[in-house]
Amino acid sequence: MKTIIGFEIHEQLNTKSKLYCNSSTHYRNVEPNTNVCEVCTGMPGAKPYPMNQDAIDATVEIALMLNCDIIENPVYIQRKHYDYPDLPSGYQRTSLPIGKDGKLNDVGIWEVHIEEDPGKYDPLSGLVDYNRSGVPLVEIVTAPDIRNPEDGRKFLRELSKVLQYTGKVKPEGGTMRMDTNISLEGGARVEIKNINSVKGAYRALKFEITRQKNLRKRGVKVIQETRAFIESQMITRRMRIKETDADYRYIPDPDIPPLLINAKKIIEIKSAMPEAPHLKLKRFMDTFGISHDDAWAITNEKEMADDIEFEIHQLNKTKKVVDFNRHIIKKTIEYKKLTYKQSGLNGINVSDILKLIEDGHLTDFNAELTVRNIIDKTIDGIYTDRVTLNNIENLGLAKINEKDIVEKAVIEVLNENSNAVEDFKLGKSKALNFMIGQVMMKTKGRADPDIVRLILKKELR
Amino acid sequence: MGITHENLTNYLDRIEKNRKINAFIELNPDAKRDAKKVDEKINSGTAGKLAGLLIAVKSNINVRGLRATCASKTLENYVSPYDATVIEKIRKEDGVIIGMTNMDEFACGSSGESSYFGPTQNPSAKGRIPGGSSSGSSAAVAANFCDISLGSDTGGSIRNPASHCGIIGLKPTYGLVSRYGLIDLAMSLDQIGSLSKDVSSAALMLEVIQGRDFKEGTTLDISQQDFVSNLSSDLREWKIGFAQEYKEFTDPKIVREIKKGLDRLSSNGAEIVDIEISNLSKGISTYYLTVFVEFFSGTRKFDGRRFGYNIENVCGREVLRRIMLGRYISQKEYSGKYYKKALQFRSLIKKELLTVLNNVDIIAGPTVPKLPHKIGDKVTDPLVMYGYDLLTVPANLAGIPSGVIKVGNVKDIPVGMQIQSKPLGEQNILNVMCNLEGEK
Amino acid sequence: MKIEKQSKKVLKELSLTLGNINLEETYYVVDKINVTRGDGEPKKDNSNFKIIIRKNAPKMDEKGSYIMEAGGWID
Repeated sequence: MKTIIGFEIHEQLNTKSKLYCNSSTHYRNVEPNTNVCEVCTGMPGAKPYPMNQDAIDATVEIALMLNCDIIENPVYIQRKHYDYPDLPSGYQRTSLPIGKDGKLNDVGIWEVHIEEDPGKYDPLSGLVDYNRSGVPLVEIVTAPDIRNPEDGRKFLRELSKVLQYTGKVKPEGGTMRMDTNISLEGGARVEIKNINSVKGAYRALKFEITRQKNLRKRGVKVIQETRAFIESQMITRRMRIKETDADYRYIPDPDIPPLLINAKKIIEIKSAMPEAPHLKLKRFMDTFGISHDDAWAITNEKEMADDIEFEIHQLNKTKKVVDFNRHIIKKTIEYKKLTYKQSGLNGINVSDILKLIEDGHLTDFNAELTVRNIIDKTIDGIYTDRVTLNNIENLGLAKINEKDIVEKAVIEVLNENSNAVEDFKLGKSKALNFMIGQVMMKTKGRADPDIVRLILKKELR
Repeated sequence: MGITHENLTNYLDRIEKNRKINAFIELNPDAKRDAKKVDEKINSGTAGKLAGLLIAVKSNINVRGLRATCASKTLENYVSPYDATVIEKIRKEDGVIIGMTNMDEFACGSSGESSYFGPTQNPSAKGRIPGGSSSGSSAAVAANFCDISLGSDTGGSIRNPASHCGIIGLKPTYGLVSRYGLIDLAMSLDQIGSLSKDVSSAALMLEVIQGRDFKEGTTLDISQQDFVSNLSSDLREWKIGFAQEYKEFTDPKIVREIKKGLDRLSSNGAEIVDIEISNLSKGISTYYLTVFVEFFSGTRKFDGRRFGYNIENVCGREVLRRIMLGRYISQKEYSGKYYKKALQFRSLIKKELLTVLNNVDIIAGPTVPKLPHKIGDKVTDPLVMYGYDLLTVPANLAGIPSGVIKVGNVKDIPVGMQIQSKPLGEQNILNVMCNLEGEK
Repeated sequence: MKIEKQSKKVLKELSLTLGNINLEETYYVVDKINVTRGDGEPKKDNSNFKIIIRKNAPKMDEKGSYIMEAGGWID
């Protein structure tokens, strides 16, 4: 049963001011209707200010990242008319496509354009806040190339990564919204609106497939309609016909002269924009000879990927750098529920740590503790201190290279753990690891575990 | 009393004594305070270009703190939360706003009879319509209730009442004056302009309100022009075009007065030339089809949710008619039949007019094809009402400037000559009017 | 409805005077393109504005949210 799925994704651009006025785009944790003016509240006579150039540039950059062709003809801004409480002018200003015919992995991108966010409306209470009204949105329309909800989820995650990479969208925080279209086996196309998360998209699609399959089983035909995704119940429900009236009566907005994105501008943006994540992944695999899984893990955040390149360049040791980042660093920041960007780690302090390990001053175990130290000392992701031998000595983390101290610890552990010694003599190799662990604890992780293993083995003979 | 305060007092007194003219919807309660402030500035020698003058503003222009009602119940209590750009400019030059004037509801009219607040009288032709849609702004000047007034012109809304009331009206080149804060009838046609008793006032006001607005994307990017210091009556070697089509569509009594005006220009050194405007008859349709679509779009925000009432529940017949027609023809399936066609004819009309203006300096002719009817004559056929606009809509369709000045009377009814020029040719228009004014 | 009938007549008359023509549409009277502005610092708060929009609002709560019609967007 061939399933055909497509998406329309909206994401907010992180400009300081709105698309058509100079009100601030900051709308979270702000009193309602504060960052507003006559334009974004649709007061009589107010005209759209000339468009925010940064927002246009960001849209072009996103289109280029998605491998689109940028439109060479004048791009008109249209009025899309419909009646809804969150739409202050009774129409939304939305551009014709700026980029067309792109691709992200296997999914075609039909077009990319720019539009304005409406305000926030709560249908239950009827309350409306226009702080969000007028914030610039990039809209990405995919080809219906997706075949199942799992691929849909994968695509959305990848797209989100691409958008985060540009640095031009609101940082992580669930501002990506989408609509999806789905049809089963040549049946009618159903549109689902009001999806506010990748998880929601996945659930919505799964629910819809089940719902449609059940209808078919009962011999009922699936009708073409628009449904809303209800996040709280993870279901879809039919929307009122009035809300889905298709004739938007588009006209070019007479107050807004069209845009023309010239070749020079495109070259400028292309040369300044970061490498797309899917391209970086491929390059890492090719250049560094690492696996797809490793590459995927370490290119998830652009800042981490950039720092890894720096570290590899500094130390000339690809595998060590990749493994440390992939396993130690990622593990720690995920545990702390932070992004790499927020962690305070950077190419310089991580290089320092790796160097200290190289030079024999830090065990892997204590390297992980050092990473935690860096993270714990920081709040906003700015940490410029280097990590020196002095630092780790002060922290009590420096590796013990004096053999006699380690030997002493080994002897103590052997004396304190006669059961384990017995077990080892009985052939249980796990006991050895246990005893190594005990020595590590005694030395506060500062002994080199490989050396400990040698000494233990020697003593146990 | 300082001069501004004195002028204000006299005007308010005259307004009070002549309330039946019904030129104003709301008087500015802060006018006295503002006038006193300006007088202080005059005393200290720091006053701007408009110091001493009282300005009346059409009720579709936002003046912070006053009600921009558009003469409709829809917005009868709507207090402007911001100043239109032209108002900011006027304030900066120390002009004092005396009040908000009456108009046709949402500028949908050419007579001044469709206001929710009652019709405006014509102070210069008793019992006759003052014209519209800037009826109150025109009557206020004609009745000496203010020094200068602001109006808006979509298809003749400044020029038509200027002609009927016998005063001077000026519609600038599209884009010369910012529309930020103007509650448009049609965004691609509207311009704010002035109504005044004399040419120098028109020149002065244009100097103040002109200019690129960083908030409004259709304003032209050109340097400020000095209209006042460049006023001149010298018309030697000027070519002035008069179209035969004008005679075909206009009341001969009006044409006779226009011809008298042309004779005066001719005896002052200008050459009167025959020109052809063959697409004149296409103007009304092109204009109205465009207006319906743009007006429908612009009124979607009058939904009663944030201010006022839902427009379709409380507006007058003509406003409702235009919304319905706009809704109808902007449908996807009909857009090719009506709207697109109108836009194509717009190209034709614009091209024709600009070509003619390459060969003459000025086009002169009548402003209105027929004399203003009596207030109370029930004109129920909208097409008859639309007919008043035949001679004025081409200027808006082409975006060119156009002015009106009185050249005669038919019985006691003023007749204004319309003077059109190529884009940014306002100085030419002012100078021709200067010449005619001097003649009186 | 009388207005409707009259309107249809008006439309018919108006569209009859226009024949058929093959020309580009004029959407804009001015030939402008790429009129944009920099992102810049957001404008300062204008408290006068908030006072007046509250006065104009049919219904607004103490915090400043407009109160409009509730729900019913789903069947």
